[in-house]
Amino acid sequence: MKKIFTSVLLFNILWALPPATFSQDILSGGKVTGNVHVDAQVYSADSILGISDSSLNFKKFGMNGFANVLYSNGDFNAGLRFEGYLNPMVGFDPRYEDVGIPYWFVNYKLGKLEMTAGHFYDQFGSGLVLRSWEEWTLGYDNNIYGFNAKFSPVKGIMIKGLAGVQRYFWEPYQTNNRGIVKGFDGDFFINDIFKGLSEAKTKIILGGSFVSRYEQPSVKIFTRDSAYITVDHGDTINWIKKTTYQYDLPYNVGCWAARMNLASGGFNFYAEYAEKGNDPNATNNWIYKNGQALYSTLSYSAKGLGVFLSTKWIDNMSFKSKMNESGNPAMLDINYLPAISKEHGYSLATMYPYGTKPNGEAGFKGEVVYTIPKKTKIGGEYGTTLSLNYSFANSIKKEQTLPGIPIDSTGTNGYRSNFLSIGDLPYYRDLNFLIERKFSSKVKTKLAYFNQTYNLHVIEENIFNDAVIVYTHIAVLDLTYKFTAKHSLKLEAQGLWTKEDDGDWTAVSLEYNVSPAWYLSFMDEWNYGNPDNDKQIHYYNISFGYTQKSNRIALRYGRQREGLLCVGGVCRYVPASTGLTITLTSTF
Amino acid sequence: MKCKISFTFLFACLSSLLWISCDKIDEPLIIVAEQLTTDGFLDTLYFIDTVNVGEKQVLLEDFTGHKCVNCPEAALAARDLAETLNGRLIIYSIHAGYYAEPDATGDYTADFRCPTGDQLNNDFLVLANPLGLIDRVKYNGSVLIGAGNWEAAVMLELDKPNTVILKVRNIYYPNLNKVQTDVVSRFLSQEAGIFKIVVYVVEDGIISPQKNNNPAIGPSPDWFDYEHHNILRGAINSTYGNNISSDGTIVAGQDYHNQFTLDIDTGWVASNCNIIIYVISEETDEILQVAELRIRTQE
Repeated sequence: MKKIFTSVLLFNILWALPPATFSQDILSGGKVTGNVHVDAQVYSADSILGISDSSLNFKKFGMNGFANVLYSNGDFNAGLRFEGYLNPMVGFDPRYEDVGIPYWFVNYKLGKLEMTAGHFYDQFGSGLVLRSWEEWTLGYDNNIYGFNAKFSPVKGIMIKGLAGVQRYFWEPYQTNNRGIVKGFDGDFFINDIFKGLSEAKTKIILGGSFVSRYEQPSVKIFTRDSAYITVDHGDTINWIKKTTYQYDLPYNVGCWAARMNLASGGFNFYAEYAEKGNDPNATNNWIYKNGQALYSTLSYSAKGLGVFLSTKWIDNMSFKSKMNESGNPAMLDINYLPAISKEHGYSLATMYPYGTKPNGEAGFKGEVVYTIPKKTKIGGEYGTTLSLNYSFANSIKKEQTLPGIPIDSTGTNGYRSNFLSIGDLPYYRDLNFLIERKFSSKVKTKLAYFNQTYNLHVIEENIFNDAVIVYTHIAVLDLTYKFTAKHSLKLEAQGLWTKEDDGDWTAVSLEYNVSPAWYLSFMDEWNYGNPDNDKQIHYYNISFGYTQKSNRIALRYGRQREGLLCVGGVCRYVPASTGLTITLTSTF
Repeated sequence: MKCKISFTFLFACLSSLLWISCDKIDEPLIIVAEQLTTDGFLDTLYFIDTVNVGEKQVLLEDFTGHKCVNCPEAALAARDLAETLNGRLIIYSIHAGYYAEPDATGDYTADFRCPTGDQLNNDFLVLANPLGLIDRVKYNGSVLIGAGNWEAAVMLELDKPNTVILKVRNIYYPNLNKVQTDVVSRFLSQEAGIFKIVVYVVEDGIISPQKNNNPAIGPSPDWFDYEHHNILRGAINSTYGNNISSDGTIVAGQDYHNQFTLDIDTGWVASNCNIIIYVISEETDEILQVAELRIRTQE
C-alpha cells in the first residue's frame, strides 16, 4: 500500500511541476490516451496432466493485468503503467505477486535536448551493450528508473546519456540488491557532418556506446580440495587440503560497442562489435574472461524480392545489473543479444524454439522472400509468395587456459577462444520453406515445411553436450475460405514427426470469423506418437472472441501444453495447465 | 565542421576514459582459509575434547580495545552474567578500530587485531567501544548494542526455543600443533533458507595492559596485569563461514557433518585456545546456535 501511495504521490508531484517549470499552459490542449489488458485464468485439476489442487499450490485463479495512461501536450509527455498480478498466472515468476505502479515517467523536449525522468526504455545500437525492454507474454521487464537525456549539439550528431537502476519485480532499489547502470551513446551521421557527402547515394552512420555497471559485491567464497601425503615423526599422514577462496569481485564493469550502418540503393549493411570487461557472474560460472560479440546484418530489397542475412558471434556476453541473478527467465539484463532464428506463428513449429546462449554462440540466418508477379503463368491471378529461411547456431571453440584446469573453471579466466571461431556442438538448425498463394477472391492457402534440429540439453537444461538432439519434420496446411466479405473459415492442419523426445504430434484448428466483431475457434494438439501411452494426450482448446469498437474480450477453455515460450531469444518455461482463460483488452 | 569533429573526438576520448576506469581483476581469488583434513590419521598422539549443545546458547561479540577505558567494566559484567547463566552465554572479544591500535612505544604496543576482527568491525560500522552483537539480532532497532543493554538482550535471546543441536569434537595433535574440529549440526525444526557454519579460534588468559576508568573494578587509569579473555585470533573457515550443507539448505532431523583443521600459530598458547562455532541464517543474518570448546593439550 505504501508503495502504491508513494508512486501516486510522485506522479502527482511530477504532474503538477511542469506548469511551473516548463510552461504556463501545460494542461490546456493536452491529450490523454491509454490501454488496458487483463489476462485471467481459472485453473482446474487435471489428472491426465498430473495437475491437482496441491500442485497448483491451491491457487485456482491467476490474473495478470496492466493499464497504461499517457498524457501528451506538445513537447511534454507523462505516463504511467499500473500492474497487478493477483496472483501471478501459472508459469510467471511468483515474485510478481503484488499490485502497483512499476512504471511512470515525465518527458519533455526543449530545443535540441530531450529529457526523461522516471522509468524509461531505451536501446543503444542493436542492444549488444544496452537494451531495456518489456515483453508481457514473457513476464519480462527491465525498465530503467532514473534519468535519460538525448542531445543533438549540431546537425548529424546525436548523443544519449542515461543513469538509473533496473526494475526487479517490485523490489525497491537498495545498495547491495542490484547495481546502478550508466551509459552514453553517440550516432554520427557522416553525410550530415561532411557537407561534401550530403548528396551522396551511400549513407553512412557510425555509432558508439559505453555502458557501466556499479554494484557493491557481496562476499562470495568457495572451497577446493587437494590431496597430499606427509611423513611427520615417522608417521605417514594422508591429508586433504581444503582451501577456501574468496572471489575478488569487480565493483565496476564496463561494456563498449562500435557500430556502422551503410545504406546504398536497396542494400543495407549493419555491423556492431562489442566488448565487455571482466564480469564474473552466475550465468558464466563466475569466470573472469572478457566478453566479445559481433552482430551483423546485410539486406537487399527490390520489388518482389527481399534477401536478409545476419550473423552473430557471442562469447561470454551476459551483462546484468546483478551478478548472481538467475531465474525463469533471469531478469536484470542490461544488454540484449539479438536472436537470429525466425519466430514462427504455427503452434507445432514453435514447439522447439531457440533461446540465446550468452556464454558462447555462433549463429547465422539467411532468408529470401520472392513474390512471383501476379497475372503470370506461375504466379497466378494474385501472385505467389515464396519464403526460404535457414537459421544455424553452434557453440564457439573453447580451449583450456592451462593444462589441468577444466574449461569454465570458476574463479579463473574460464577458457581461451579465438574470435569468430565456430565449435562442433550444434545448438539449433531450422530450415523452412513457405508458399503463400491466393487462388481466388475466396480461397487463400499457405503451405509450409520446417526441418528443425534442437539440442534439448543445451537449450532447455544448459548442459553442453549432444546427448539429446531432437530432429523434427513439420508440415503445415493453412487454408482460408471467405464465404462473404464478412464471413470466413480458416483451417490449419499441422503435423510434427520426430523419433526423439515426445514423438509425433498432429494439430488441427478451425476458426470461424465474422468480421470485425467475433470469432469462434476450436483447436486440438494431439501427441499421438508419445512412446508412453499414458502421455498420448489431446491438448484441446475452444475459444471465442468478441470485439466492440476498441474493446475486445476473448474466452478460452482447454489445456496448455508445457514447454518453452521464447520471444527474441529470451525464453520462459510454461508449465502444463487446464482451465478457462479470459482476456480483456481496451484502448482509449 | 570543426565543432562536429571536436564533438566526435570528445566522445571517443570520453569512451576510452570510461573503459579504462572499469575494474580489472588480476588475481580473482584470494585465499581466506586453509584446512587440513586427515584421511586415515596415523599419528597416535592426540587429545580429544567434546561438547554437546542441546539447549539454546547465546553469542556476545564484544567490540573492544586495550585503550578503551570503559571496556573492562563491560567485559567483567558480561563474564559475571555468563557465570550466572551456567555457560549458556558465550563471549569473545574483537579488538579492532581506534581503541585497539597499538602504540609504537610504551605500555600499549600489543596488537590483538586480526583481519577477521577488522572485517567485522568495518562491516558492522562500529564507531565506539564497548559495543556488542548479541546473536546479531536487533535490540531497540540496532544490532550494535550498548553494554547497558547486554543483559536484557541476552535474556530475550535465551527465551527463544532452540532450533539447532551442535555436537563438537576437538582433536589436538601436539606433534603437529594442529587441531581438527568436527561439528555435527541437527536442526530440530524445518527452516527455509541458506544456513552457514562459522568457526573462529580465540585465545584466553592473555595478560596485557588495559586502560580503565573505574577504580572500583581494578587499577586505574592503567591496569597492567589485566587478563584478556577469548580474544579473537582469526576465522578458520572465513569471516562469514561456509554452507552447512552442499547448498546451504537443511532438512530437520538430519545430521550435517563439517570438519575443519587449523594450524595453531606459534605465537599462541594452544592450551588457552578455544574454538567457537556458530550457525547463522544467511537470510536474516541472525545466529541460531553457538558452541565453545577448548583445545585439550594433555591428559
